[in-house]
Amino acid sequence: MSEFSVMMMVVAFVGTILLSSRYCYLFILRHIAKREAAALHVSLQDVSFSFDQMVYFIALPTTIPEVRDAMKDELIIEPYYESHFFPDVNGIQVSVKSGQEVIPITYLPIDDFSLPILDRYLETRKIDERTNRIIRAHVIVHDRTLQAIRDEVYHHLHEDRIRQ
Amino acid sequence: MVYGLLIVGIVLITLVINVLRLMTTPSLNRWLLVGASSLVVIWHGILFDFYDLHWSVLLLIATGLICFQWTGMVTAILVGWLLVYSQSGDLSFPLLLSYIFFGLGAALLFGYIKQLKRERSDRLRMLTTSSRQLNVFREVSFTMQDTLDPDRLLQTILTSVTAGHGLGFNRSIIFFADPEKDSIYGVMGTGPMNPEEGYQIWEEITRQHYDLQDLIDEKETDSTHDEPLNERIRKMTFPFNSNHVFKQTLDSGRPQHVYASITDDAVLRLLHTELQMDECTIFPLHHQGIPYGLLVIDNVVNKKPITPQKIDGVRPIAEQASLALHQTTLYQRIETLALRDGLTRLKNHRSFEQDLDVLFRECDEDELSLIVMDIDHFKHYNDTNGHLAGNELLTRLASVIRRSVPDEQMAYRFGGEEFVVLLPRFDEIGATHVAETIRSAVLGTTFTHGNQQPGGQLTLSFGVASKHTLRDQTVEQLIECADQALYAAKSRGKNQVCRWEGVTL
Repeated sequence: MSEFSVMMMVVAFVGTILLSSRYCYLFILRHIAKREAAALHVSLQDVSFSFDQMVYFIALPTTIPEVRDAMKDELIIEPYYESHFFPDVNGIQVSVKSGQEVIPITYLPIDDFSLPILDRYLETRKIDERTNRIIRAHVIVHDRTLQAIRDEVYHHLHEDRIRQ
Repeated sequence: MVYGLLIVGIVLITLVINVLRLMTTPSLNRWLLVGASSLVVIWHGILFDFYDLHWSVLLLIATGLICFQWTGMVTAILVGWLLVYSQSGDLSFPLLLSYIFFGLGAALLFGYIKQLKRERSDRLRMLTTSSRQLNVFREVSFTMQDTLDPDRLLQTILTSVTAGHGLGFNRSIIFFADPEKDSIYGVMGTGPMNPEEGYQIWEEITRQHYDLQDLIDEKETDSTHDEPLNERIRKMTFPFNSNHVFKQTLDSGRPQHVYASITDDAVLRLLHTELQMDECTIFPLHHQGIPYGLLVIDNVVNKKPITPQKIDGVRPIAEQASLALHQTTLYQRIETLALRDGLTRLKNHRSFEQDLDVLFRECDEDELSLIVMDIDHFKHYNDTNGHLAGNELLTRLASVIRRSVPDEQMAYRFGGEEFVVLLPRFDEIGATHVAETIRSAVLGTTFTHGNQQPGGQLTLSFGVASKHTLRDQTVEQLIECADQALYAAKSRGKNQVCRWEGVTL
């Protein structure tokens, strides 16, 4: 019976880590990013960003029906993490689901997420690499950014259809 | 009850340490995770009297492996084994062996998972890089195919390697090579003069959400950010036939990756002094053995290293750009042949008709004047001195006219010994003044055999007409009236300017 308790211990420990790490990560990210931004006298709401380095994996204009006809709400926008134990957002991926198949549309690596103010602070050593990474990660996973990415991708898919 | 306590305790410990570890540095994060697993093992031991410690230690070994790879695993095995020994008082080597086997199995499994993740990550990075290059190349190809305008072509090349939507370098500059004039000279660049300016431009672009096409279009307006850079590079000239890095790049036909701050090369020294350039890559722009110029890129703002992969990414664009420059040059030559007079290099009659049509349509309420001029006694000159001398005279006269008009692109050889000048926004008085200027310049110039002309010198007669004096506002009538005025100048004794005064034709 006590071997059962060991199994429960393992399951509870690993399960709690896997299920909570990303939420804890996002919570901590928000907390630290706001604190660091306040120290820099920067409002994260007003920070200019651009996802001009977002890379499309499909040719535009596309002829893939699932992508071409996808509605804005059907675009799946999600952060990309490499590890469950040590969550660290590496980018934002956009895809569309067609039945069981997930069709990747575009990917924005976090290192290519353009936040000029952070680059300037990093260059002038007002912030260190870790702070840069934290604020950058917070901004990229922020709802406002994800919505802007959704709008941008949808716009690109449809703008190029109009051109076509 | 005890199982409930076990789970609640584990969840609480894990949650608290999960929050704490993510607030710290990566290294401390790992230590805290190991600490969390140790606390969980202890918590389990407290609840179950450390009865199954030899089993629960396996969690510690796995956590050690995840956090600190082999070192963590070996340490956890030893610590765990000693913990069990301290509890049981039995130094069990079979147990140690079991832990080692467990550790090896777990290491193989985690190693395999890690390798899969690394491969996935590498593939994603390669796919991202390749897709970016392909997208940029595709967009640039479309734009290049769409234009034969050299300026727009250069803007496209420069923007495609610098903009965020492009390959993302901070700055790029194009130099043209002219072996005939023994010259390599700066033509156009995009990017900042220094990091501070770079951040300002970057923030502006980010705020405005420009895309690649917007940036190419923006460079065609006057509001370009690159004027200070362009002013400086347009002053840069190097001899083509000297031994410097530009010549070496053109000769080798391959990109050169160099550091401008640590070299004796004259070109690089100037680039370093004038543009704060250091690490940079120079790409040759050449096609079918013809050197067209060079493309220079650097990261003056963020100082990111220019890796071989990035250089490979620019090469297709440089080659495509060379081909486009080749086509544009050929097109310009054909256009020159079609629209320029082969003898005088002035624009020809066809050009005149095209330009006049456009100007007439565009000038709307604005004034437009026309000067028609004809060499007096040109037949006599030809008969006396021969046609070769006549051709020489026409060439010389063309250069005098070119120098005497407000815009040399508005001077044309109309045919034979007749020339015309279009003067947008000039009324008949201003146009008469221009005609007088040409007449004086001709009188002030010594032409070969000019003294053998009647009157002892070469002279021209001029007819001037302006749009607002016409009854019917048509192109044909403008030419007709100027021609009538020229006829009047001839009949009144030549070597004079006559103006069409609005008399009905």
